Amino acid sequence: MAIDPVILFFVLGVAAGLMRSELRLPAPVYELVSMILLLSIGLKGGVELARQPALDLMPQIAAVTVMGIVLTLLAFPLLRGLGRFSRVDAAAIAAHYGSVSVGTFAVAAAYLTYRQIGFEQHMPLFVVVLEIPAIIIGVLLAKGLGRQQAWGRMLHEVLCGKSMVLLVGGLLVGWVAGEDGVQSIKPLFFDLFKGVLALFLLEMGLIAAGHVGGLLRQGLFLLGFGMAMPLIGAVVGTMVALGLGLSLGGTVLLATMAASASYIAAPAAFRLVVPEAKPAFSLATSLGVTFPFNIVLGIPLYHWMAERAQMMKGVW
Amino acid sequence: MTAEEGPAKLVSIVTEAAVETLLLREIEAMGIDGYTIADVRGRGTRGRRSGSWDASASIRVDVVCAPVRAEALALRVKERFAPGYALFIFICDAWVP
Repeated sequence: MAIDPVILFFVLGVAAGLMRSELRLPAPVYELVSMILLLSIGLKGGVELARQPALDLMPQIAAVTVMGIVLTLLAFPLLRGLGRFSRVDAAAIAAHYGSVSVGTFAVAAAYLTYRQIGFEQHMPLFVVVLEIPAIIIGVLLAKGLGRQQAWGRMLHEVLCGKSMVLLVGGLLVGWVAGEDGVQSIKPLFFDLFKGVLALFLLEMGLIAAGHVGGLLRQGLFLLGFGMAMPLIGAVVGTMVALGLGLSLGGTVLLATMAASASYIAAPAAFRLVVPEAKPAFSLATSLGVTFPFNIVLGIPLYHWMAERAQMMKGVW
Repeated sequence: MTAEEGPAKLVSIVTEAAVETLLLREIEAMGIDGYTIADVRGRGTRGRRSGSWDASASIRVDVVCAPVRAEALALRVKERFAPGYALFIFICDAWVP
């Protein structure tokens, strides 16, 4: 099967990074590229929300919230017990894995579109929903209850962080404007989506390559965890998707979301609220291992898994 | 900036962009209402800060103020942020014409 060219851009970025090429996306360009990605994902979801009553989605939103909590609580004892990480580091890494990566979601959505597999267009709403609970549970695991000032700051950071504002903002704009309304901005946000994603992945490749050295210093456990935890997440995500009666494409997307690890919202929140947690651990794992693993091997694997699961569900 | 004319001190604080809001709040709490912020990149004891994306972004906050305040500011910022964050502070002589 042909490889989606956007993945090749990621490979190019990794190769350039490992070869210590001078290539780097200027910071404002990276900012713009991620803004366009977040807004277009939000807009697409919002347009779909305009078509159906939001109340119908409440059970699904609740299920996805619980999924985020469960994933964090699954990862934490693994990191504490097997990985022998300190409480704060285990909590921080667990929160990254319970939360979600918008970049991985974008690649999975592009993967499905490339193969003409349909999916529920309101899935971006679940990205928003899944981003929050893991960070709250992670901070609870790291700090326990109390310290009111830290809680206020964390909630502000999670709810007003730029990825959240752009995603939710995009959803609201799409929802208010509706399908016809967004036609005028379609050329930038929808038609250019794949090109923008390619640039984004080029930079992500460079960043991932930069974390390889740190990862090797942290030892083999994080390397194994960075590949095993997405598989556990994907199984959980697939089961939740089946329970919610999602389509094949929707199942692949939810499995991918559950398998992905945050690298924008969770690191930012933890940096501010739990500065004693070392970002080298969580970022090296989520960016150096899990992100590449998911976009190159994971998504096709979750697609295969979703097909089998949907078939089995059909038999029962 | 807020310094009076004549001799003054330049306090340069190089730290993670993540703490910008907290740091500025700290500076303003000391009654200093003038500063300059720059996005920077470089290398230090906490490794390379490439500045290409959020987690590796660094800032330098420059404050010009009276010598007594400069030391108090540096100590306060160091006490508050040095334990958890990449932080480097230096003070040098300045002149406000």
